[in-house]
Amino acid sequence: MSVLFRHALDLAWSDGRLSKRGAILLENFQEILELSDSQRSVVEEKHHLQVIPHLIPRGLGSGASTLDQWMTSLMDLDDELPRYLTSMGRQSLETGISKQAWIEGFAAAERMKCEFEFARGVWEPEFEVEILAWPEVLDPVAKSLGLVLEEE
Amino acid sequence: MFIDEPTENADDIDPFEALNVSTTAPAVRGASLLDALGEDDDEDEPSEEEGEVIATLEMGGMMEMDEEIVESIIPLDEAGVIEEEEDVDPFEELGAMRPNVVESTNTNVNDALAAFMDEDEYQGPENTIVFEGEDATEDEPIEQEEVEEKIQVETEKPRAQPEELYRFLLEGVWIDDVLDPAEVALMARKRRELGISFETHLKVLKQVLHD
Repeated sequence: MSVLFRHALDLAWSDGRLSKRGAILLENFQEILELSDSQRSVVEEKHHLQVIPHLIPRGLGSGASTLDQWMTSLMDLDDELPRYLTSMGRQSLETGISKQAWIEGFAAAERMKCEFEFARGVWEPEFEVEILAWPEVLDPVAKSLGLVLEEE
Repeated sequence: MFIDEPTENADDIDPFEALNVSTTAPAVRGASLLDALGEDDDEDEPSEEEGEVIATLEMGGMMEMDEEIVESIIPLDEAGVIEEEEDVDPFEELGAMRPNVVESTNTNVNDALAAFMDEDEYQGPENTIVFEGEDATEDEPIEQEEVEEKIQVETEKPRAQPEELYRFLLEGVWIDDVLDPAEVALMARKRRELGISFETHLKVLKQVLHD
């Protein structure tokens, strides 16, 4: 649930400031993910407490452009998104998926309406899955699944 | 001359007398017949009082008869009518005490007591002490019944639902906090065995993770 919106917040605040455009894009993304205000507030409050105090302002909210590009890329995946998520699920199982990773990965897939495909990749060993290299736009999901180290 | 025209001597003719019919009331006639049977002496001549009664009846004054007159004609004792006030208490007559009869209005108490008192209907085991070496043959059927009842109750207990069993297994899978392919293969086999769909698996998994 929070993986994708948390990444959107990181992008919007990437130069230490949030522009008006960035705020509007966050509003739009909230609607795309069908997040409730309370669900958004949980993620946003955590971000304000843990991330923003450590940011050094060095721009005027240029992160909005980065957020816009990422959102566009994510939307462009469309038909290929289920295949990527199935593959990511299978790869996470092979590396060993923790309970928290499963919860976050499933919630993200649910927001993208591909939860069934992701779950099949993890829980149906007889289901043949093509192992794919996921696109960079899905890095936040891959990080939550433990497929990518945070430092990378 | 028409038939309907009144004649001068119409009031003088007694139709009962003309037809030779008795004007005496049937009850009085019956009583007089009884008297005739009981008293042979007076059978020929009616008494003066009876004559008065007959006369009264002829005048239509039956409703105005005094009780004294009626009784004088038909003694009530002889007619079988006995006044309630004259009920004779046999205990009083014998000079004995009445038995103390407690009339209980509580029928439940009576019924309960009757149930305890009615030994014929009691079919349960008697309270007997069985010493060592004696065979408690009478109790054996009861014990067998109890055992059979216990077995029946145990067999009637609902078996664990497949979903509950699967949920239990899922909880075990996450004990080490990491899911590996072997555990997933095991759970897939269990789903087939228990007839659990993948959608049900996801539902149970959500419940397990959110509890």
